Amino acid sequence: MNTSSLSLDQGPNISVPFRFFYSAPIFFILFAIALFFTPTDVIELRFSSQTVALVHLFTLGVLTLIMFGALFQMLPVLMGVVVGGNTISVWVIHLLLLLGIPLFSFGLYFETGILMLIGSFSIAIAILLFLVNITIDVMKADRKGKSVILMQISIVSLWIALIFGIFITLGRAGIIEIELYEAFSNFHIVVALFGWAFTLVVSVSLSVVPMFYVTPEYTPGCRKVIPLIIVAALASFAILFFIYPSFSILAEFIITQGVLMYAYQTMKRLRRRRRKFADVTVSYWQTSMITLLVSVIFWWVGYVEPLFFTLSFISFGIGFLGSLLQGMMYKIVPFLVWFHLSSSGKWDIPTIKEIIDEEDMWVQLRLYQLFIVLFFLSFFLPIVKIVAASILIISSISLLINILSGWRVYSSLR
Amino acid sequence: MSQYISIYLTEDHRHCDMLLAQAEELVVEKKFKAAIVAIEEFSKAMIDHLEREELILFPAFEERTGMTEGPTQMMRVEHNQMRQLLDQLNEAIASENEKKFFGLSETLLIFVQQHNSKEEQMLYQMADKKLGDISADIVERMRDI
Repeated sequence: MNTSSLSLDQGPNISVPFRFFYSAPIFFILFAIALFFTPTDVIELRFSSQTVALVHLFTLGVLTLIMFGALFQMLPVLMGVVVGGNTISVWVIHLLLLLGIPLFSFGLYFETGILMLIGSFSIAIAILLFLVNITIDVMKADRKGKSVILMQISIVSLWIALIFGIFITLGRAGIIEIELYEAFSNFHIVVALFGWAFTLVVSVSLSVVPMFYVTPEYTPGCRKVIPLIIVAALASFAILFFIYPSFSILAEFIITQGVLMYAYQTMKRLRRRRRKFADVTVSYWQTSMITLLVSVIFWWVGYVEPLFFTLSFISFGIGFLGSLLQGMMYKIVPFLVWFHLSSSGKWDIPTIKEIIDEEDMWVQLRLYQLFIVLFFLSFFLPIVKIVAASILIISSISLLINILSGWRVYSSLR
Repeated sequence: MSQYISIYLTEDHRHCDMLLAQAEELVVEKKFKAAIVAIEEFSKAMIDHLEREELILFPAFEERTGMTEGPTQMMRVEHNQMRQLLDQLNEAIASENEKKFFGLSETLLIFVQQHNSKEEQMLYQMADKKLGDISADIVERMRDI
């Protein structure tokens, strides 16, 4: 380790993570509105333009924005990697995503090629800028850290997902011809969901679950085996999708082991946490782990009834990733408000628990849980989907109002 | 017993976390008298830990690296923020103000965790490397506090 890289300062300006956190619920609201107007039988068609649009509105607009915001804040703390925090690049990345995601999704949804292309170009540049900002430092980080190897796999996966995503978009727009379109799409999905998002979440969990909830540490065996399983699964997917697609079940079996191990180890730790009092973020983590397990069960049931493949993706994306990231925001936003106020020398300030009303967070969690259940149900009883989407609209507005109270407290006291 | 600075101080972090969690458990059970004692024990462990760093580790690190205004200074600033939170936490438990106590204990724990993470991931690793030849002596002196 080089002494000059040792930076223990206060991290980025509060506006850096906040601009990403506050944009995510707005995309959540847009996603819920789009869901309201999209029939369930269209969502079941995996490659329909409307489904692909909805998926990207959620995965990029909600998940990626929260993950980028969290990474800008957490990389300096967890890995000593200082991301160009206050530089113009953060501003540009955010603006490009803010423009690109709606254009891309709108273009796809209404099959307007030019909007889709402009949107995808904007998103690609934003993700590229983000990656260029952090890749070298993340790859150089000392691998002794418990999150480092997984973080490196995650960043490499985002590069791959981006490259495949660009090819698929060009193919969809008719600019290039892709012979193995389905293999390209499947690999893009697997690398984005497992290589990037799942791996990043596991990486962060290994550090924050024991820290925030005072639980036993994840075992060194678990920390070593999960990255190996992820890499083995991604390599298997790459080979099988492009060469022996009918054997891709082998790679699915491998990744299932990694997912089960992570979910089991995390639930065990949450159950054995020393801080036993009710905490909305713990309930978010538990919801996340339960829906992760449900997604595994649904996946294998899908071989009997293919509808469950769709439900598995929903459980993984909206259940597992969506819940966990909202819970993380409820942990990070109040802390950052307190931290930045306190670091500027102010002491007559609310505690972390007084910044967002706890009752409001519980209500929002219950709404989100209800939405997940009703959304599953809507595939069997389509009329329910309107109720589910309406609840998601209320839940997302409530999420926005809740985290905005963090900003209100900060701006009134700074 | 470890002679590595990083291992010794990381174990000390975990010990403090555990003491705070125990005190929180007592407040949940409304055992305020026992909780006051537990918070006193936690506060002492925390203050001892901060002094181990400020009186022994940081001066040695600064002397060896020449970095007097860098990471150690930032850590000292955060230590002072922790001391103020500790005072407030003791006041809250003395007045049996449960809501305030949990607000402060959550604030302190999350603040301490991000602080610890920076120390464990960077500062202690650096200290192990730069002070390797005298680490046994440093650990021994820190144990005496």
